[in-house]
Amino acid sequence: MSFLLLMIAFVLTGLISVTNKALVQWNLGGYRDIYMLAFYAAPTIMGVLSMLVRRQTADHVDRRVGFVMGFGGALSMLCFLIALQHMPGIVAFPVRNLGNVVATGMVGILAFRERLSKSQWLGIALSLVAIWLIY
Amino acid sequence: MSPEHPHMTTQQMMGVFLMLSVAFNTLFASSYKIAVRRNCNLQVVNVWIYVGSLATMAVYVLLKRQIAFNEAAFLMGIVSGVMVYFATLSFFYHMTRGQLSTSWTVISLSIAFPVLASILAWGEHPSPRQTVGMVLIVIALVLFGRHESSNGGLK
Repeated sequence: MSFLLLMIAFVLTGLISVTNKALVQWNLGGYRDIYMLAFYAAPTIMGVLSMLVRRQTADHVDRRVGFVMGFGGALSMLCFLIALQHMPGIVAFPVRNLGNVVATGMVGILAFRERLSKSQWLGIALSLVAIWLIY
Repeated sequence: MSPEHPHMTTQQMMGVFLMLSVAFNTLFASSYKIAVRRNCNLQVVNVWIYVGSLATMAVYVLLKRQIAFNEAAFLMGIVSGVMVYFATLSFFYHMTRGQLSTSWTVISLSIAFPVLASILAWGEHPSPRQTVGMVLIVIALVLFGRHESSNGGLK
């Protein structure tokens, strides 16, 4: 069951990225604002309803962290959709994905004092080479 | 040249947007680490992520003072939004039993979908150099996920 849930998340995440690409390919890139508003409104309504049904409450830390994540997530997607408008998908998607891996790893080291294993350092090095090759 | 910034080419401008996308996403991922460390209720945080995203977009549109409506784009947004809700929910429920490192790696590999779609459906052709880079992606993601800690379970 757990593996099935992971596969559902895997497929849905992939399909969302395909939808982003389709938006640009179908000449709807100029309507990305309405697309993004709908994109975030749907899960907001579903999530709030779910919270009400389950009678879940949020403390101020949950709210603040969630809000900052939402701010970062929305601007990240907005910038990505703008970039995707003029970049091939075979470049934009891998560079963004690997860039996230490298940048998050660096922030983990600098801000959270995390230690990376040798294989993770190798992963970062390979990511940088892959970005260079693809871009 | 880009019309807004005559000294930069469009390619360079798009590179800047791509870097900004990575920077904002790093803010997102770093906040997730804070949520885990502070033992936040991730299901509740998840709802507030959507609230924060919606509010950010609403402010952005208000600042622009214009929005172009298109039914197809609106419906695509709704469908994608429903998908992102169930994707996150499935992932969080999976995380109550699964291991964070393996799971993140699997989710990261989902970029295969848009890359394959770009090649098969929209006729983009990767050069041999880019193909080598794509093979390296898989290796890099697997290597990066191998020893990551597994303390990201749900409260």
